[in-house]
Amino acid sequence: MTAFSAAGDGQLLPLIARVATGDRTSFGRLYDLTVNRLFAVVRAILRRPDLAEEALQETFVRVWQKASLFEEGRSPAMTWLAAIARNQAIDLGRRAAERPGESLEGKEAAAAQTVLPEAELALELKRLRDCLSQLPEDRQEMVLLAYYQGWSGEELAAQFSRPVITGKTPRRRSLFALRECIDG
Amino acid sequence: MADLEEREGLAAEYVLGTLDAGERAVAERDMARDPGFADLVAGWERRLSPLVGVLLWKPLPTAPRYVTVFESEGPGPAFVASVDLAKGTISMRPISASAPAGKAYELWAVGGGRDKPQSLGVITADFRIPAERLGKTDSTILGETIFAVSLEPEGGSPTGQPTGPVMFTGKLNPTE
Repeated sequence: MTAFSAAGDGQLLPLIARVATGDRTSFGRLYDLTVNRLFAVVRAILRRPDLAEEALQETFVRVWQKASLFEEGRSPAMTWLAAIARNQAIDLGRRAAERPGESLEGKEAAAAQTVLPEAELALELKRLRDCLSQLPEDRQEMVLLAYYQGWSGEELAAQFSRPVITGKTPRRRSLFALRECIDG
Repeated sequence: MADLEEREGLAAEYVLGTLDAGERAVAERDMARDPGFADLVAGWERRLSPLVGVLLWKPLPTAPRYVTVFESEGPGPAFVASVDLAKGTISMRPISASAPAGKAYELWAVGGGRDKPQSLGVITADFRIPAERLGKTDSTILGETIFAVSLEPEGGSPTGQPTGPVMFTGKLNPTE
């Protein structure tokens, strides 16, 4: 069981099932139960509040459209919702970055968030962290910056200016090493 | 098959979030039409998803927010609206479909001390207006305000009052 029980499967699964049939009342309830947590997810990636708000609403549009594709048992409902939110935030961040003058905003302050907390670690997170810790430190940081801040390969390269870490090949090598460790 | 590793790498980077906009679009298209690739992506979502728990635990932003889902009888488009008093914005998104050709959806505030419906504007794909447009926005008035969406000619009601049928209504509920 994952430990982040903002709202658990017990509450969320029946709602998602009803949303999949087009039930708007359940959609409203699902929105109420998850909007603040999902806002935290998009806000971590998008520092501009207006973009974060846009990504949040886009997230719920996707939830409405994709509820029937949710596979119970594959992942906890909150994880599924958070993945949708992350993807919307990253997509929107990429599109915004392509508009002039809107790139790399707030990137300097971001590195502070790349330390995983020791306390309250769920089992899966502990395992993932153990696997991450087997990577060289700068590669750990690269993975976390990409995951939590939505940094693109290009942005990572600009920040680290060390192609040996941030190039596509070493990045994928790090990911594959992580996969070997996690999948055991 | 020679590019199995390339596909696995693309799936991993899609989930990690390191692809640029063009590469992400390609990955999303492949997911939709290639179940094998979608499975690769799902595998990486599973491996990395514990990280998202850290975000879900983080202290929440405390801005008072009010949200509503606009409901209607039967199938048809509905909307999600949110009012953020701290940022002073009202925003609204259609969930599905759009107004029929030559028509537009217009948002109105009704009640809450208003004599007549007050137009908040024609709803566009990225509808966002300053909350001051509502006038006084204390929580009592907001709670008593009914938001309604009517079907109007393109460009909105010509009279300043709703002329077409009211399609959807909603009230705002504070979140947490």
